[in-house]
Amino acid sequence: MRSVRIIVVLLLSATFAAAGETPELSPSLSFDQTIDRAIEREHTFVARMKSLHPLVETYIQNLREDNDHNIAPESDQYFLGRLDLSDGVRDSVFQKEHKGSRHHFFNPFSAAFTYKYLPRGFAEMAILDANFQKGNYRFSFVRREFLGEARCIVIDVQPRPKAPKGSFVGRIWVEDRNFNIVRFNGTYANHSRYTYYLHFDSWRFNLQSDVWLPSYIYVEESGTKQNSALFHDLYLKAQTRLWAYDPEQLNHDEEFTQIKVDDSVDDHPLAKDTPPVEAQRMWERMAEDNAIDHLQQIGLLAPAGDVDKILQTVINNLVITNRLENVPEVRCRVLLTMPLESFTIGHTIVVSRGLLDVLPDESSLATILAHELAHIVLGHRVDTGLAFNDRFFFADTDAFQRLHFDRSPADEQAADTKAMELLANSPYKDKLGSAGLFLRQLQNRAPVLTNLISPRFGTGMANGNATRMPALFAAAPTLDQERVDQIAALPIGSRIKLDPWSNRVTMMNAKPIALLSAREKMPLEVTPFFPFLTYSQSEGKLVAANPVSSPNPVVGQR
Amino acid sequence: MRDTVKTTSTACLLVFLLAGLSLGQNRLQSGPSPAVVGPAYDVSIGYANLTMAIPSAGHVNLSGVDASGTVALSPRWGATIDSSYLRSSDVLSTTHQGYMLSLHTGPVFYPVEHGNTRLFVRALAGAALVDGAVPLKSPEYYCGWLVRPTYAFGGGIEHSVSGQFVVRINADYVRTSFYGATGAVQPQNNLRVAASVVFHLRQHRHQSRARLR
Repeated sequence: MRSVRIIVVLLLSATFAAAGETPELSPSLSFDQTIDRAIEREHTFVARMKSLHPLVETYIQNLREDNDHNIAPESDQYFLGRLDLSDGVRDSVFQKEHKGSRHHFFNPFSAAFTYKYLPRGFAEMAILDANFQKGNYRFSFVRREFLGEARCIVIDVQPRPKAPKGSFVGRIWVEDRNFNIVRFNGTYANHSRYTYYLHFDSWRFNLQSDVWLPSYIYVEESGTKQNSALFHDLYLKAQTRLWAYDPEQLNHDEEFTQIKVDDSVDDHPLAKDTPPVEAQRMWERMAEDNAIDHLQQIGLLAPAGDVDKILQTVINNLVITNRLENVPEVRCRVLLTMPLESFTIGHTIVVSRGLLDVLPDESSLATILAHELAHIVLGHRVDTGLAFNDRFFFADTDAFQRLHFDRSPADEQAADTKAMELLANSPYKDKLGSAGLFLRQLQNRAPVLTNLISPRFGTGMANGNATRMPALFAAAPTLDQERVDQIAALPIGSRIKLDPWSNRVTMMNAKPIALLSAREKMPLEVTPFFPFLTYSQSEGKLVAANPVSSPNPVVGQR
Repeated sequence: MRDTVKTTSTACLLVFLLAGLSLGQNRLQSGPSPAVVGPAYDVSIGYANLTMAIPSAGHVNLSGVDASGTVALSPRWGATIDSSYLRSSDVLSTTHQGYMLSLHTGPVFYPVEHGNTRLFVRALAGAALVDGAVPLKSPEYYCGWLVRPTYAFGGGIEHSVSGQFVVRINADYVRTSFYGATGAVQPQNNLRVAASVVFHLRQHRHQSRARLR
């Protein structure tokens, strides 16, 4: 079944790649004809989306404004799921723990007393209108505008009086080469008394030749900010990211047909027996590789790439300056999820995209990596049960429950102590104040950003009054939110750029911007997206060149 | 015994009807999934009129105040608590001032919603204090009061008039008990009609309802 879907996707891509060979807008095309083309493309887009099953990650911060108009998060929510539009909208959510029937029995109507967010509703903001019909809307031309490289026709869209409930209302950007909708900004009209649609800004990237797919969605609601229990309104910011579109990432059936017999020739010159020590190492490495491969296959781990090399450089700095000659080869990989965490799988250090995004400088990164390197140096092993492949025969959405890479408190404490030794001999030893500040910022926000700071696979970085590396925490300067030059942590999305098709990550190439006030520091906070859209190259592997979460503070950046 | 069977079958029919309507509505639902479901409470107060049957004597009209509160539990279901105080200055020409004080609670189902108007049906259970009189040979009459469990079911229509204000008209069949001419407790089949003003509490205000004309 999956193979059929892949073939359908490839055929659709090929068909529209051919259509995409007419790049320029015909000057004779009227506004009405432009609308017709855009609607036709949108129908194609919806059909294509039904064959794709990307991961959808939503992170929500509920906000509060105090009497001095300072806005800060007061709680957060996190969802990760796989989108399936093939039979209506369905999403399967990754959960750390299954909420049993007892939970549902005793709490069947939790939304009767508090707002309840629905992952499906956020994911569906990727779709403008599943049945986009010209007759349901009134279209008004606004202007032409560039979104990055894409020259767009900007159109206001409002539902007509007889339009179905939930029709889109807002503004759309239609690129003028092939009339794909590349951005839409607004909401769905006519919510009911109990269910609400939110305002959103949804971006699509040209991920394959003439294939524009949803990648970023920014959600914001800022109605009344009163704190009255009865009239408290929705006041939130949220980011939704979609990735893991490439069907080949999810299904390796195709690879079988590509195996050449010539490549499978045993190239060992002589038969060689494996001594027990080496067998043990190989066994541990197999467990490590199985876990890494599985996480990559289900779209949670980025393929090896440039960011890994940056991490590897920092590791090398630590290894060389500490003369760690007996340490085995250490690898680094990026977990694609937002919650801040790092952990080791055998000799592989995994750092989450969210954590890399918010680290203020290289010494903070070195601190994180030193802690994980310490686990490896101290010989904290991988669970060798993972060497058995049947351990990975579970639904993707059970990954948080079935894979555990957390360590015991004793191991964590030992790693903290060892990491301090490693840092003391490293080039980062005089710059550890910022790392301590980062830990202070984590501890400061830990009570409210519980979902961001809670790990899914590893051990928490901040828990109650305790943080990782308490010695660094204690030596750090006092956290001063009003100082513009003190950057303890960056906003979410400050560093890493993710290709939603191939899952590859690269460092962002953002222009440094000086902060104008302390309000712009926004540590660990959600910000809007403003990607620089580009057309895909011939090989069809281009992502937005600059998916900047704006504004992007630079003070203290690497 | 026959009453029990009849009551049970009526209740089963009602539940079946509500479940059928609910399933039907779910199949008909379209449009994007909401991102948030949230608390929606309302309170109402209004005028009610109840036609009460006095066993073996006739009917008497009582009028008064009806107040209720509702909490939404899902897009189509809610729970309500309803109380009414209805009185008559002269029960069947006996000069006795009768009244009924009732308190009911139960589920509400909204099978149809169109624009600013929606229909609802509800099934309630609770208790009622009935104070009344049973005329005998004029000018003699029995009078007294009785507290017994009761139930009610009915429905109505709500229309949003502006902002958080809604007008509601509803009618309920109310089953109560009172003494008959022989002094035995007998059931009463009553019809209650009410017109109320509803105020929505804690509702997220959204700015996108307007459409082009």
